[in-house]
Amino acid sequence: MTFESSGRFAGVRRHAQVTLVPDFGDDGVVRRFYALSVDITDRKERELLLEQQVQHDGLTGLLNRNGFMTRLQPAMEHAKRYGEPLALLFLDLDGFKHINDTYGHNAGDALLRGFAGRLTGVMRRTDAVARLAGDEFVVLLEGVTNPIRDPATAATKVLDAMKLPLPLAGGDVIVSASIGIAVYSDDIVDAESLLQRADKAMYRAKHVGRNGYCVI
Amino acid sequence: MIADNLPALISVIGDDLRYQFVNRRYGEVLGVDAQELVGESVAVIGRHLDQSLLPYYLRAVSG
Repeated sequence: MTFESSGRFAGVRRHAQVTLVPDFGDDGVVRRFYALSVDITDRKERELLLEQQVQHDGLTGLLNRNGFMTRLQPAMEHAKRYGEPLALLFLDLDGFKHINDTYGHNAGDALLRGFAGRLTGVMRRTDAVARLAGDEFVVLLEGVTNPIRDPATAATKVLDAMKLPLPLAGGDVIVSASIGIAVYSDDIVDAESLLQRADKAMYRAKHVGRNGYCVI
Repeated sequence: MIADNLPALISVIGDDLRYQFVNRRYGEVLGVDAQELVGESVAVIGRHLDQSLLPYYLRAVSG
């Protein structure tokens, strides 16, 4: 019998592969067994790091699309089964391309990191926050008490947080965001459609003048 | 003894879940003299682990 085990020894995390081999007596009953543990810490740490990288965005440290979808699908199943409201915020920075073009990619990256920080700062620790691509971010709000008011409150918090300037290498900038809100309902068949609905709401928010949110 | 010089933890555990033998490396990882572990309960290492190995031990003991 072989399995993996992990623990902490003298403050250091270690992973081991353990093999147990029973030693039978003459009567066929186990008298004792041999335990052989081989240290696999290096390999295991690499595996865990890789797993982390596959689900996270290297620039901001937020979840990436893959990691977000892994969270969203079971959350939707849970919402459906227990009738607990679930909402999605789709956020897009206003005028990001302009800043990227004017101040350069490094400034653009710094802006994305700054926004990611503001975003996680106003969300609950349990909310899944992700960067899907470019300047597109999403937040999954689970277990909301009021499906109309709570996502709107969360969106307002983001907009308020972005009223303060973000320090970039070329100077401080104030960047707003447009936010689309989609609330999960039974007619939404899969995670992708919920995401699309929130995306559509975000475009509507952009259309009506940016720096705001829109609910579909 | 060969077992002492292997870069692995080797132990012999009785059906009472007490050590009958542990190699030198085992003692080093736990920060004690290997000889002192003989007769001790496997809980000695269990305290360091994220999850108890008891279910595995019981399966090994029942063959």
